Amino acid sequence: MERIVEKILAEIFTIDPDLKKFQKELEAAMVKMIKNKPETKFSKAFEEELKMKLLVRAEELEKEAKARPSLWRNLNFWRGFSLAAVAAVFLALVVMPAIKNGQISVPNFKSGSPLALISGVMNVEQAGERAFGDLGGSSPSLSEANLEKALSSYYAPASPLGSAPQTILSGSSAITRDTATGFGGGGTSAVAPPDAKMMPPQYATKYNYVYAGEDFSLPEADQAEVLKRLKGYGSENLTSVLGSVSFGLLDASKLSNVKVQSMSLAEDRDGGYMIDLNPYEGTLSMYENWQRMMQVDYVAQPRLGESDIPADEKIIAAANEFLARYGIDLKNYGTPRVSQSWKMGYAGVRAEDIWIPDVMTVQYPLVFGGKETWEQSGYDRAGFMVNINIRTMKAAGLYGLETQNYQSSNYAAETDKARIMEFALQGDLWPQGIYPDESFQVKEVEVRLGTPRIEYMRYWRYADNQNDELFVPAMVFPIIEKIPADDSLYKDAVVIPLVREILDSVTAEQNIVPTPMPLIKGTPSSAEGVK
Amino acid sequence: MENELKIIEACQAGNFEGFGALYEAYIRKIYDFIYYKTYHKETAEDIASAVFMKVLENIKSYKPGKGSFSAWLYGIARHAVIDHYRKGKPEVPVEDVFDLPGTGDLTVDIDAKDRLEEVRAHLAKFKPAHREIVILRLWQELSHREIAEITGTSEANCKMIFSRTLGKLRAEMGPAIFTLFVLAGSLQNTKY
Repeated sequence: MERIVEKILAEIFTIDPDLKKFQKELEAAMVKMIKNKPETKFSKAFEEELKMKLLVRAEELEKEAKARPSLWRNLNFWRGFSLAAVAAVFLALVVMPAIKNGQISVPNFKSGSPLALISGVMNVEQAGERAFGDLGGSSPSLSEANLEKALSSYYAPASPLGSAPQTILSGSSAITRDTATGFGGGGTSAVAPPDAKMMPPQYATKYNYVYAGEDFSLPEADQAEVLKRLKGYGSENLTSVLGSVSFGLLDASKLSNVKVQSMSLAEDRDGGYMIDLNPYEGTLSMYENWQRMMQVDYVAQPRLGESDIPADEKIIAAANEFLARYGIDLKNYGTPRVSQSWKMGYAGVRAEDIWIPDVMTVQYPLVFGGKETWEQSGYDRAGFMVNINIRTMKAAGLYGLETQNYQSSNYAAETDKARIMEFALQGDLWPQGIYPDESFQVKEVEVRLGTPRIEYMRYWRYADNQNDELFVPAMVFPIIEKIPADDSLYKDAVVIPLVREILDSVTAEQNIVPTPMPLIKGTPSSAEGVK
Repeated sequence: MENELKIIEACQAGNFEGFGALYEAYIRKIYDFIYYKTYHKETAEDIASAVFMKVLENIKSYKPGKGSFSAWLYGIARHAVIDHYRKGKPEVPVEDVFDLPGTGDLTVDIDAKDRLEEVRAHLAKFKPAHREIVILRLWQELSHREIAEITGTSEANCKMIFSRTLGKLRAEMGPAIFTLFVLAGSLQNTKY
């Protein structure tokens, strides 16, 4: 270590002699970095095992090269194409016409296009009442991921820090609710993980949610329509087509009931894109073909300043242009917005310390019947995203584009406005954060909520070994003001689902009495005897 | 590595006899490079396996005129790590473990967590490309010439970025680290 540190210091001082006055601090910083270099646990067994795999594959490649049919050997035409591109040609020339001619049944998605392996057209089938089973029981978002929150709620009784209750007017009666507390600026994501007990944050932020909207009423209907996105192969079967094709290593005619599980295509051109298609999941993503990306001296690029960030309209226009170029239909999506999530954690930070990313994300929210869909967190809308490189104004990728086939089923709606408001005023379905140690400095932020709109909320439910993607009606309370305004809570809204059994399951989880957590002070009486 | 180009040309012509030598020359470097971006042994092994399989199958696409073989190899590894994180959370641009918030839910080796915590807060504030240069220099102990090759920049520029980033790191860590360093007694007794 001595040698490398000395050598590096000499280099640095040659480049920047001014740094000499910080020699000791530079030494200390370098020593800290070097001492914290992780042990990579490189395994000789792994090295040997991988080597064997590579040698076996290398042998196969040599054999393939020798055994390659003359058509492939002689036609220079194919040389410029990646294997994925060849697959695309295969689909275009063989599979697609076969589908068109009725040789292959099309997916039972009502796509309107006989060529679609996956479709972007929205289709909703009606199902019976409560057709998707229990919505509360086994959702990952209601159990594992929020276990910490459930635990926290137990140890963080409703009136921590002696906070004053908040009051809202709700027509004929007033609803009161004690404030909630969260750490840092992260809001719902800022619950301290178990390991964070070792390094607690230096301050806690206490978010006081206040209703500042107009009077409103919940929908009168006692049933709420829940949508479940359908996945699955559909009925496309490629067996008959593959009967006349040889893969060289495999006799494809021996395959039966063949479905396309996933497909990767590449535009083998400079600046082209790679496309990942998963007909089973019904998803499509695109990203720059890294093999043909423009070679940018990315290290030498000057650091971006705030003035380098193009106007949102310009970023959105670049994203729209990209989508139009690739024929991506936007009719199921609402008004695009440029995500501000990169600003998270920069509240109060000096401008020169803010790292502005090269890529900005444009969100296209999914829309049902004119209503936008939100993530439960209230941070983002649910839909797909296009990343735009703001240095080049070129699309860097597209993520989250999904097929739009749904089943619809009715569930009991929550009609108790007071209950909805109680959730809204804690800022989330779960009380935020854990009761901080008294050594924390507490910063209070007032978050003012506007009049809610009825929109949709994406809700993930784990059942039968798979994640179901559900969309449920929800009250979306826009965050209209933060006091102070520069707080790093950057979510746009508080989203509370209107399906009663989801709320019931949250309430039930909060009533679980967990094993007491020893490090938290001020625990309720049931945790007596615990330090 | 001697004869590297000849071995590559042979592989590109379909003779993979020398591929084992290429593999041995780079596996440790690439594995470590990936580990420093993921802090997880199994993940690093999976990604390193995928990288070398990709290199084997796509070696024809390497064009010596466009840069060194090691730059190409590191580039594939860098993108493989980015792809790994994209699969997990595609809506957020993540290039390595330092871009992820917190360590509570991260899949990282338990014994590496404390060390990660020690440096993460500081490194996370730098551009991924800049922290990569710091890591390549301080942890992989590569020369600026090698780093310049890998990152596709000039040696002088690489030195400049490293110097400035380290200067910021010093300011970032602040006098506290220096005080601790002195208190530990290592400054007086050890010449680094």
